[in-house]
Amino acid sequence: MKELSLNILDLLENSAAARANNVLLVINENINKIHVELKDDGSGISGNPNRLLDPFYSSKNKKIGLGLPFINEIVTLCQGNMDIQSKPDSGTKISFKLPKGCIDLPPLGNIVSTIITFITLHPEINLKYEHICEEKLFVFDSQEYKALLEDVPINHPEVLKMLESYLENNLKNLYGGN
Amino acid sequence: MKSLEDLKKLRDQIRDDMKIRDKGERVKITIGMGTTGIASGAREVLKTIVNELETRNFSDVEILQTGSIGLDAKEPLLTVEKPGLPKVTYGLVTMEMAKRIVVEHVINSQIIGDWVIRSS
Repeated sequence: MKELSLNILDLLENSAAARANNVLLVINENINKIHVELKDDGSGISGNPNRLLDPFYSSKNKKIGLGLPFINEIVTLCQGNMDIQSKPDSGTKISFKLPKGCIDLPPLGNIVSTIITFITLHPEINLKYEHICEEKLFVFDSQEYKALLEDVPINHPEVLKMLESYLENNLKNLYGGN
Repeated sequence: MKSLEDLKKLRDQIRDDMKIRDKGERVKITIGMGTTGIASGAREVLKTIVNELETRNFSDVEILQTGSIGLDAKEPLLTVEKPGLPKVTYGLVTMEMAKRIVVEHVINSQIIGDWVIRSS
């Protein structure tokens, strides 16, 4: 994957496949490291969750699964660390921490596009996204917007466009742009 | 969106719009959003589709996702089901192609035969 945000989209899609209703994505970064945490209330998996790092294991109905192995590859190359917790019926929590400045670390990339894509495809799932950058915090909770939109779908093209520019502006502020 | 007021305004506008519009059958667009799809550009293709729908003010669309369907070498994959037309899958879809698929197929019912990899 060219961007970490694409890996994150892949993980979000896993949560959707596990029939999660609520997903929490936290990105915490500063000049030295980036820490990504994803928590869902989906079906989870039984047994040792580190199986998910094996490319020849998948909890879906197929023989291979490369989503988590791809992330594990970056974690290994950059000497970061990763933790997976998953139990049947109590969801999955994935967390990985990567030091910045490693040549093998892809840029975070377009995280806004990842969020918008997920909302487009899974309007029914509540996505809460927290982004911390050098102690500054931005929070976006799709549930709040759905409540406000009432019967209008959150994945209506015009709503998505508005949300996208809203997220872009807020991230710019977070990164200290003008 | 500067304030929540803007979003409320948009909500009311969309609601009025939906009332006026004669509700036809919706076009179903399915995009491959498995690991391979994502790695080969599905996110950008989807973004292009949503942007184009917004520009053309066409919202009678249902956008769905699917995982790998065994055609990984042809990702990004895009399936369009428009009532009255055969169900068609496009392969190796780029952003430029996605734009044309929306305009020509989704809106104007013209299947772009050269790009079709599966039809049923």
